[in-house]
Amino acid sequence: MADFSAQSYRQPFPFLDIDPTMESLTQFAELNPQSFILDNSAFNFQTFFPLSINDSLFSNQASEGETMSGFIHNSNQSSVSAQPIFSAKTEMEEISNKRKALDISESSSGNSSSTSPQVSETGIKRRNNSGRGKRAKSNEKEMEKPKEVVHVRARRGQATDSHSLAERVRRGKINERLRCLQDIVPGCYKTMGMALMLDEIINYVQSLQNQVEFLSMKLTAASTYYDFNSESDAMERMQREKAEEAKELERLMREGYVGIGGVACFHSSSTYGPL
Amino acid sequence: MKRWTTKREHQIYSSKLFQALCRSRRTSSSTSAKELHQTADRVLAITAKGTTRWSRAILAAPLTAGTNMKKHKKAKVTVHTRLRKPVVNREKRKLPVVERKLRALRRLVPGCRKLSCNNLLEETSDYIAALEMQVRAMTAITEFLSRGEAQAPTDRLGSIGNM
Repeated sequence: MADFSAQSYRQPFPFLDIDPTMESLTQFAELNPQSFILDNSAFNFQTFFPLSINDSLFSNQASEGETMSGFIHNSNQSSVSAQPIFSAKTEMEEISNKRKALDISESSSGNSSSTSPQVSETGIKRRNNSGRGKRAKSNEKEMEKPKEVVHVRARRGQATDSHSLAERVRRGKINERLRCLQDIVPGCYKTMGMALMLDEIINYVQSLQNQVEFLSMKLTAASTYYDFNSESDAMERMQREKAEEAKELERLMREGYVGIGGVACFHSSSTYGPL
Repeated sequence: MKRWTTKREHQIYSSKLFQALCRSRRTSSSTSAKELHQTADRVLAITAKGTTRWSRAILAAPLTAGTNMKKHKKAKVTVHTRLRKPVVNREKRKLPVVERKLRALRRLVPGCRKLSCNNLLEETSDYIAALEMQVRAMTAITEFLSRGEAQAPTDRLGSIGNM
Protein backbone atom coordinates (compact mmCIF):
# COMPACT_ATOMS: atom_id res chain seq x y z
CA MET A 1 0.00 0.00 0.00
CA ALA A 2 2.81 2.37 0.85
CA ASP A 3 4.48 1.52 -2.41
CA PHE A 4 1.33 2.14 -4.35
CA SER A 5 0.68 5.44 -2.68
CA ALA A 6 4.25 6.46 -3.31
CA GLN A 7 3.87 5.55 -6.94
CA SER A 8 0.48 7.06 -7.42
CA TYR A 9 1.62 10.25 -5.85
CA ARG A 10 4.76 10.20 -7.82
CA GLN A 11 2.73 10.70 -10.94
CA PRO A 12 1.24 13.99 -9.85
CA PHE A 13 4.62 15.03 -8.57
CA PRO A 14 5.10 17.78 -11.12
CA PHE A 15 1.66 19.01 -10.26
CA LEU A 16 1.22 18.61 -6.54
CA ASP A 17 4.63 19.57 -5.32
CA ILE A 18 4.01 22.94 -6.82
CA ASP A 19 0.95 23.70 -4.73
CA PRO A 20 1.29 22.36 -1.28
CA THR A 21 -1.07 24.91 0.16
CA MET A 22 -4.43 26.34 -0.72
CA GLU A 23 -3.08 29.85 -0.88
CA SER A 24 -0.70 29.16 -3.68
CA LEU A 25 -3.52 27.48 -5.54
CA THR A 26 -5.74 30.49 -5.31
CA GLN A 27 -2.79 32.62 -6.32
CA PHE A 28 -2.35 30.51 -9.38
CA ALA A 29 -6.03 30.70 -10.12
CA GLU A 30 -5.90 34.46 -10.03
CA LEU A 31 -2.76 34.68 -12.11
CA ASN A 32 -3.90 32.32 -14.79
CA PRO A 33 -7.57 32.54 -15.44
CA GLN A 34 -7.19 30.72 -18.72
CA SER A 35 -9.40 27.71 -18.70
CA PHE A 36 -7.20 25.97 -21.23
CA ILE A 37 -4.39 25.26 -18.80
CA LEU A 38 -6.75 24.44 -16.01
CA ASP A 39 -8.69 22.08 -18.19
CA ASN A 40 -5.52 20.34 -19.19
CA SER A 41 -4.27 20.13 -15.65
CA ALA A 42 -7.66 19.17 -14.30
CA PHE A 43 -7.87 16.40 -16.82
CA ASN A 44 -4.44 15.19 -15.81
CA PHE A 45 -5.23 15.65 -12.18
CA GLN A 46 -8.27 13.45 -12.40
CA THR A 47 -6.37 10.75 -14.15
CA PHE A 48 -3.54 11.01 -11.67
CA PHE A 49 -5.70 9.42 -9.00
CA PRO A 50 -7.50 6.65 -10.72
CA LEU A 51 -7.90 4.36 -7.77
CA SER A 52 -7.49 6.66 -4.81
CA ILE A 53 -9.85 7.93 -2.19
CA ASN A 54 -10.43 10.98 -4.31
CA ASP A 55 -12.62 9.02 -6.67
CA SER A 56 -15.63 9.71 -4.54
CA LEU A 57 -14.76 13.40 -4.55
CA PHE A 58 -14.55 13.49 -8.30
CA SER A 59 -17.75 11.60 -8.82
CA ASN A 60 -19.54 14.03 -6.54
CA GLN A 61 -18.16 16.98 -8.33
CA ALA A 62 -18.38 15.59 -11.82
CA SER A 63 -21.35 17.78 -12.48
CA GLU A 64 -19.25 20.84 -11.89
CA GLY A 65 -17.18 19.84 -14.87
CA GLU A 66 -13.90 21.56 -15.31
CA THR A 67 -14.80 24.91 -13.89
CA MET A 68 -12.18 26.76 -11.94
CA SER A 69 -13.95 26.60 -8.64
CA GLY A 70 -14.60 22.89 -9.00
CA PHE A 71 -11.01 22.30 -9.89
CA ILE A 72 -9.69 24.27 -6.96
CA HIS A 73 -12.14 22.52 -4.68
CA ASN A 74 -10.99 19.11 -5.87
CA SER A 75 -7.35 19.93 -5.68
CA ASN A 76 -7.74 21.55 -2.29
CA GLN A 77 -9.37 18.52 -0.80
CA SER A 78 -6.91 16.13 -2.30
CA SER A 79 -3.93 18.33 -1.58
CA VAL A 80 -4.90 18.37 2.07
CA SER A 81 -5.06 14.61 2.09
CA ALA A 82 -1.89 14.41 0.09
CA GLN A 83 0.13 16.54 2.42
CA PRO A 84 1.31 13.90 4.89
CA ILE A 85 2.34 11.59 2.07
CA PHE A 86 3.68 14.52 0.15
CA SER A 87 6.09 15.46 2.93
CA ALA A 88 7.43 11.94 2.91
CA LYS A 89 7.85 12.23 -0.81
CA THR A 90 9.81 15.45 -0.60
CA GLU A 91 12.25 13.62 1.58
CA MET A 92 12.49 10.94 -1.05
CA GLU A 93 13.22 13.54 -3.67
CA GLU A 94 15.96 15.06 -1.56
CA ILE A 95 17.55 11.71 -0.98
CA SER A 96 17.58 10.63 -4.59
CA ASN A 97 20.19 12.74 -6.25
CA LYS A 98 20.40 10.62 -9.34
CA ARG A 99 18.34 12.50 -11.83
CA LYS A 100 18.49 9.80 -14.43
CA ALA A 101 16.97 7.23 -12.09
CA LEU A 102 14.26 9.72 -11.34
CA ASP A 103 13.66 10.30 -15.01
CA ILE A 104 13.49 6.64 -15.81
CA SER A 105 11.22 5.75 -12.92
CA GLU A 106 8.97 8.67 -13.67
CA SER A 107 8.82 7.91 -17.31
CA SER A 108 8.09 4.29 -16.60
CA SER A 109 5.40 5.16 -14.12
CA GLY A 110 4.18 7.86 -16.46
CA ASN A 111 4.04 5.42 -19.30
CA SER A 112 2.11 2.91 -17.30
CA SER A 113 -0.78 5.33 -17.28
CA SER A 114 -3.14 5.40 -20.16
CA THR A 115 -3.16 9.06 -21.17
CA SER A 116 -0.48 10.54 -23.33
CA PRO A 117 -0.75 14.14 -22.05
CA GLN A 118 0.60 12.86 -18.77
CA VAL A 119 3.77 11.66 -20.38
CA SER A 120 4.05 14.88 -22.25
CA GLU A 121 3.64 16.92 -19.09
CA THR A 122 6.34 15.09 -17.21
CA GLY A 123 8.55 15.04 -20.27
CA ILE A 124 8.31 18.75 -20.88
CA LYS A 125 8.88 19.52 -17.24
CA ARG A 126 11.99 17.41 -17.33
CA ARG A 127 13.16 19.18 -20.43
CA ASN A 128 12.62 22.50 -18.73
CA ASN A 129 14.86 21.28 -15.97
CA SER A 130 17.49 20.15 -18.40
CA GLY A 131 17.18 23.43 -20.22
CA ARG A 132 18.18 25.19 -17.03
CA GLY A 133 20.98 22.70 -16.62
CA LYS A 134 20.10 21.78 -13.05
CA ARG A 135 19.79 18.34 -11.53
CA ALA A 136 17.28 16.87 -9.11
CA LYS A 137 17.73 19.70 -6.67
CA SER A 138 15.93 22.02 -9.03
CA ASN A 139 12.73 20.17 -8.18
CA GLU A 140 13.19 21.06 -4.55
CA LYS A 141 13.67 24.69 -5.48
CA GLU A 142 10.35 24.64 -7.22
CA MET A 143 8.70 23.33 -4.10
CA GLU A 144 10.12 26.15 -2.00
CA LYS A 145 9.32 28.99 -4.39
CA PRO A 146 5.82 28.64 -5.69
CA LYS A 147 6.08 31.75 -7.84
CA GLU A 148 8.93 30.33 -9.82
CA VAL A 149 6.95 27.15 -10.10
CA VAL A 150 4.07 28.95 -11.71
CA HIS A 151 6.32 29.89 -14.59
CA VAL A 152 7.31 26.29 -15.03
CA ARG A 153 3.70 25.27 -15.05
CA ALA A 154 2.81 27.79 -17.67
CA ARG A 155 5.68 26.69 -19.82
CA ARG A 156 4.70 23.10 -19.39
CA GLY A 157 1.16 23.77 -20.40
CA GLN A 158 2.04 25.17 -23.81
CA ALA A 159 4.08 22.38 -25.37
CA THR A 160 4.12 24.01 -28.78
CA ASP A 161 7.81 23.30 -29.23
CA SER A 162 8.07 21.08 -32.26
CA HIS A 163 11.24 19.52 -30.97
CA SER A 164 9.67 18.44 -27.73
CA LEU A 165 6.67 17.07 -29.57
CA ALA A 166 8.87 15.05 -31.87
CA GLU A 167 10.95 13.80 -28.97
CA ARG A 168 7.83 12.83 -27.11
CA VAL A 169 6.53 10.86 -30.06
CA ARG A 170 9.87 9.16 -30.56
CA ARG A 171 10.18 8.21 -26.94
CA GLY A 172 6.64 6.92 -26.94
CA LYS A 173 7.44 4.65 -29.87
CA ILE A 174 10.59 3.32 -28.25
CA ASN A 175 8.77 2.63 -25.01
CA GLU A 176 6.05 0.81 -26.87
CA ARG A 177 8.59 -1.44 -28.57
CA LEU A 178 10.31 -2.03 -25.25
CA ARG A 179 7.02 -3.11 -23.74
CA CYS A 180 6.49 -5.59 -26.56
CA LEU A 181 9.92 -7.00 -25.89
CA GLN A 182 9.16 -7.17 -22.21
CA ASP A 183 6.33 -9.60 -22.91
CA ILE A 184 8.51 -11.81 -25.05
CA VAL A 185 11.70 -11.87 -23.04
CA PRO A 186 11.36 -13.71 -19.75
CA GLY A 187 12.72 -12.15 -16.60
CA CYS A 188 11.86 -8.57 -17.46
CA TYR A 189 10.12 -6.51 -14.85
CA LYS A 190 8.05 -3.48 -15.63
CA THR A 191 10.17 -1.34 -13.32
CA MET A 192 13.36 -2.07 -15.19
CA GLY A 193 15.02 0.76 -17.03
CA MET A 194 16.27 0.67 -20.57
CA ALA A 195 19.81 -0.44 -19.74
CA LEU A 196 18.71 -3.44 -17.68
CA MET A 197 16.12 -4.43 -20.25
CA LEU A 198 18.70 -4.31 -23.03
CA ASP A 199 20.96 -6.50 -20.89
CA GLU A 200 18.22 -9.08 -20.59
CA ILE A 201 17.41 -8.91 -24.27
CA ILE A 202 21.02 -9.39 -25.28
CA ASN A 203 21.41 -12.34 -22.93
CA TYR A 204 18.25 -13.92 -24.24
CA VAL A 205 19.23 -13.55 -27.89
CA GLN A 206 22.65 -15.00 -27.15
CA SER A 207 21.14 -17.95 -25.31
CA LEU A 208 18.73 -18.61 -28.17
CA GLN A 209 21.53 -18.52 -30.70
CA ASN A 210 23.57 -20.92 -28.59
CA GLN A 211 20.58 -23.22 -28.36
CA VAL A 212 20.21 -23.24 -32.13
CA GLU A 213 23.88 -24.03 -32.58
CA PHE A 214 23.73 -26.85 -30.08
CA LEU A 215 20.60 -28.21 -31.71
CA SER A 216 22.20 -28.14 -35.15
CA MET A 217 25.06 -30.27 -33.82
CA LYS A 218 22.58 -32.67 -32.27
CA LEU A 219 20.57 -32.78 -35.48
CA THR A 220 23.59 -33.63 -37.59
CA ALA A 221 24.45 -36.38 -35.13
CA ALA A 222 20.92 -37.73 -35.20
CA SER A 223 20.64 -37.51 -38.99
CA THR A 224 23.81 -39.54 -39.64
CA TYR A 225 22.10 -42.59 -38.23
CA TYR A 226 18.96 -42.00 -40.24
CA ASP A 227 18.37 -43.53 -43.63
CA PHE A 228 16.91 -40.76 -45.70
CA ASN A 229 16.64 -42.79 -48.89
CA SER A 230 14.07 -45.11 -47.43
CA GLU A 231 12.03 -42.20 -46.13
CA SER A 232 9.01 -42.26 -48.42
CA ASP A 233 6.20 -41.43 -46.06
CA ALA A 234 8.35 -39.07 -44.02
CA MET A 235 5.97 -36.13 -44.17
CA GLU A 236 3.08 -38.15 -42.81
CA ARG A 237 5.17 -39.31 -39.93
CA MET A 238 6.34 -35.77 -39.34
CA GLN A 239 2.77 -34.52 -39.11
CA ARG A 240 1.91 -37.25 -36.66
CA GLU A 241 4.96 -36.42 -34.60
CA LYS A 242 3.99 -32.77 -34.62
CA ALA A 243 0.53 -33.57 -33.35
CA GLU A 244 1.96 -35.73 -30.59
CA GLU A 245 4.43 -33.06 -29.60
CA ALA A 246 1.72 -30.43 -29.57
CA LYS A 247 -0.45 -32.53 -27.32
CA GLU A 248 2.46 -33.23 -25.01
CA LEU A 249 3.27 -29.52 -24.92
CA GLU A 250 -0.32 -28.67 -24.02
CA ARG A 251 -0.32 -31.23 -21.28
CA LEU A 252 2.94 -29.94 -19.85
CA MET A 253 1.71 -26.36 -20.01
CA ARG A 254 -1.39 -27.27 -18.13
CA GLU A 255 0.69 -28.93 -15.49
CA GLY A 256 2.35 -25.59 -14.97
CA TYR A 257 5.69 -25.99 -16.64
CA VAL A 258 7.30 -22.62 -17.12
CA GLY A 259 10.06 -22.62 -19.66
CA ILE A 260 11.63 -20.18 -21.98
CA GLY A 261 8.87 -19.70 -24.51
CA GLY A 262 7.67 -23.17 -23.80
CA VAL A 263 10.93 -24.62 -25.06
CA ALA A 264 11.85 -26.11 -21.73
CA CYS A 265 8.98 -28.54 -22.17
CA PHE A 266 10.80 -30.15 -25.02
CA HIS A 267 13.87 -30.76 -23.00
CA SER A 268 13.04 -34.36 -22.43
CA SER A 269 16.59 -35.52 -22.92
CA SER A 270 19.11 -34.89 -20.20
CA THR A 271 21.70 -33.45 -22.56
CA TYR A 272 20.03 -30.06 -22.38
CA GLY A 273 21.24 -29.75 -18.78
CA PRO A 274 24.38 -27.66 -19.34
CA LEU A 275 22.40 -25.12 -21.34
CA MET B 1 5.73 -11.34 -34.23
CA LYS B 2 2.47 -13.16 -33.80
CA ARG B 3 2.98 -15.25 -36.88
CA TRP B 4 5.92 -17.12 -35.39
CA THR B 5 3.76 -18.60 -32.69
CA THR B 6 1.15 -20.27 -34.89
CA LYS B 7 1.25 -24.00 -35.39
CA ARG B 8 0.92 -23.58 -39.12
CA GLU B 9 4.17 -21.62 -39.40
CA HIS B 10 5.81 -24.22 -37.23
CA GLN B 11 4.71 -27.00 -39.57
CA ILE B 12 5.74 -25.08 -42.66
CA TYR B 13 9.19 -24.43 -41.27
CA SER B 14 9.84 -27.92 -39.98
CA SER B 15 8.70 -29.56 -43.22
CA LYS B 16 10.87 -27.25 -45.28
CA LEU B 17 13.81 -27.88 -43.01
CA PHE B 18 13.32 -31.60 -43.22
CA GLN B 19 13.17 -31.47 -47.01
CA ALA B 20 16.34 -29.41 -47.12
CA LEU B 21 17.97 -31.92 -44.79
CA CYS B 22 16.98 -34.82 -47.04
CA ARG B 23 18.27 -33.02 -50.12
CA SER B 24 21.62 -32.18 -48.54
CA ARG B 25 21.93 -35.75 -47.30
CA ARG B 26 21.36 -37.16 -50.75
CA THR B 27 23.81 -34.88 -52.52
CA SER B 28 26.72 -34.91 -50.10
CA SER B 29 27.33 -37.65 -47.58
CA SER B 30 29.08 -35.43 -45.05
CA THR B 31 27.03 -32.74 -43.39
CA SER B 32 28.79 -30.58 -40.82
CA ALA B 33 26.97 -28.86 -38.02
CA LYS B 34 27.88 -25.48 -39.46
CA GLU B 35 26.29 -26.26 -42.81
CA LEU B 36 23.18 -27.46 -41.09
CA HIS B 37 23.09 -24.33 -38.97
CA GLN B 38 23.35 -22.16 -42.06
CA THR B 39 20.70 -24.17 -43.85
CA ALA B 40 18.37 -23.89 -40.90
CA ASP B 41 18.88 -20.12 -40.76
CA ARG B 42 18.26 -19.77 -44.46
CA VAL B 43 15.06 -21.77 -44.31
CA LEU B 44 13.96 -19.62 -41.40
CA ALA B 45 14.65 -16.48 -43.42
CA ILE B 46 12.69 -17.90 -46.34
CA THR B 47 9.76 -18.61 -44.08
CA ALA B 48 9.85 -14.97 -43.00
CA LYS B 49 8.97 -14.03 -46.60
CA GLY B 50 11.31 -11.07 -46.73
CA THR B 51 9.34 -8.69 -44.56
CA THR B 52 12.06 -8.23 -41.99
CA ARG B 53 15.53 -6.88 -42.38
CA TRP B 54 17.32 -9.74 -40.63
CA SER B 55 15.75 -12.31 -42.96
CA ARG B 56 16.85 -10.39 -46.02
CA ALA B 57 20.35 -10.07 -44.57
CA ILE B 58 20.59 -13.81 -43.96
CA LEU B 59 19.52 -14.60 -47.51
CA ALA B 60 21.70 -11.94 -49.09
CA ALA B 61 25.03 -12.94 -47.58
CA PRO B 62 25.25 -16.74 -47.27
CA LEU B 63 27.68 -19.39 -48.57
CA THR B 64 30.48 -19.69 -45.99
CA ALA B 65 30.56 -15.98 -45.29
CA GLY B 66 30.78 -16.78 -41.62
CA THR B 67 34.48 -17.54 -41.83
CA ASN B 68 35.30 -14.20 -43.46
CA MET B 69 35.27 -12.04 -40.36
CA LYS B 70 36.29 -8.46 -40.88
CA LYS B 71 38.61 -7.09 -38.30
CA HIS B 72 36.90 -4.40 -36.29
CA LYS B 73 38.74 -1.14 -36.55
CA LYS B 74 40.01 -0.09 -33.18
CA ALA B 75 39.83 3.50 -32.04
CA LYS B 76 42.86 5.55 -32.94
CA VAL B 77 45.05 6.35 -29.95
CA THR B 78 47.17 9.46 -30.31
CA VAL B 79 50.31 9.96 -28.29
CA HIS B 80 49.28 13.25 -26.74
CA THR B 81 46.19 12.07 -24.90
CA ARG B 82 47.90 12.25 -21.56
CA LEU B 83 48.97 15.84 -22.14
CA ARG B 84 45.51 16.98 -23.09
CA LYS B 85 43.08 18.15 -20.45
CA PRO B 86 40.63 15.42 -19.55
CA VAL B 87 37.34 16.21 -21.18
CA VAL B 88 34.56 16.06 -18.66
CA ASN B 89 31.69 14.40 -20.44
CA ARG B 90 28.56 15.25 -18.54
CA GLU B 91 26.31 15.87 -21.50
CA LYS B 92 22.85 14.52 -21.17
CA ARG B 93 22.34 12.97 -24.60
CA LYS B 94 21.80 9.21 -24.79
CA LEU B 95 24.24 8.06 -22.14
CA PRO B 96 26.99 5.80 -23.52
CA VAL B 97 25.78 2.93 -21.32
CA VAL B 98 22.65 2.47 -23.38
CA GLU B 99 24.53 3.12 -26.60
CA ARG B 100 27.06 0.39 -25.85
CA LYS B 101 24.29 -2.09 -25.23
CA LEU B 102 22.52 -1.08 -28.43
CA ARG B 103 25.77 -1.65 -30.29
CA ALA B 104 26.06 -5.13 -28.79
CA LEU B 105 22.50 -5.86 -29.84
CA ARG B 106 23.24 -4.65 -33.36
CA ARG B 107 26.06 -7.14 -33.58
CA LEU B 108 23.78 -9.98 -32.54
CA VAL B 109 20.86 -9.43 -34.88
CA PRO B 110 21.91 -9.99 -38.49
CA GLY B 111 21.63 -7.10 -40.90
CA CYS B 112 20.95 -4.43 -38.30
CA ARG B 113 24.34 -2.76 -38.12
CA LYS B 114 23.16 0.73 -38.85
CA LEU B 115 19.61 0.64 -37.66
CA SER B 116 18.09 3.20 -35.36
CA CYS B 117 17.12 2.27 -31.83
CA ASN B 118 13.45 2.24 -32.70
CA ASN B 119 13.70 -0.11 -35.71
CA LEU B 120 16.32 -2.19 -33.98
CA LEU B 121 13.94 -3.04 -31.17
CA GLU B 122 11.26 -4.01 -33.67
CA GLU B 123 13.65 -6.28 -35.57
CA THR B 124 14.82 -7.81 -32.32
CA SER B 125 11.34 -8.79 -31.21
CA ASP B 126 10.65 -10.46 -34.55
CA TYR B 127 14.05 -12.14 -34.52
CA ILE B 128 13.53 -13.49 -31.01
CA ALA B 129 10.14 -14.93 -31.93
CA ALA B 130 11.62 -16.54 -35.04
CA LEU B 131 14.53 -18.01 -33.08
CA GLU B 132 12.14 -19.50 -30.55
CA MET B 133 10.21 -21.17 -33.32
CA GLN B 134 13.43 -22.41 -34.85
CA VAL B 135 14.45 -24.00 -31.56
CA ARG B 136 11.06 -25.66 -31.19
CA ALA B 137 11.12 -27.02 -34.74
CA MET B 138 14.67 -28.32 -34.57
CA THR B 139 13.97 -30.03 -31.27
CA ALA B 140 10.93 -31.69 -32.80
CA ILE B 141 12.89 -32.90 -35.82
CA THR B 142 15.67 -34.24 -33.62
CA GLU B 143 13.12 -36.11 -31.55
CA PHE B 144 11.56 -37.47 -34.71
CA LEU B 145 14.88 -38.68 -36.06
CA SER B 146 15.92 -40.27 -32.78
CA ARG B 147 12.57 -41.95 -32.46
CA GLY B 148 12.87 -43.27 -35.99
CA GLU B 149 16.25 -44.67 -35.08
CA ALA B 150 15.01 -46.27 -31.88
CA GLN B 151 12.10 -48.01 -33.60
CA ALA B 152 14.11 -50.22 -35.89
CA PRO B 153 17.65 -50.30 -34.55
CA THR B 154 18.71 -53.55 -36.13
CA ASP B 155 17.75 -52.51 -39.66
CA ARG B 156 19.46 -49.12 -39.30
CA LEU B 157 22.58 -50.60 -37.84
CA GLY B 158 22.70 -53.06 -40.67
CA SER B 159 22.48 -50.28 -43.24
CA ILE B 160 25.13 -48.27 -41.42
CA GLY B 161 27.45 -51.24 -41.33
CA ASN B 162 27.19 -51.49 -45.11
CA MET B 163 28.13 -47.81 -45.62
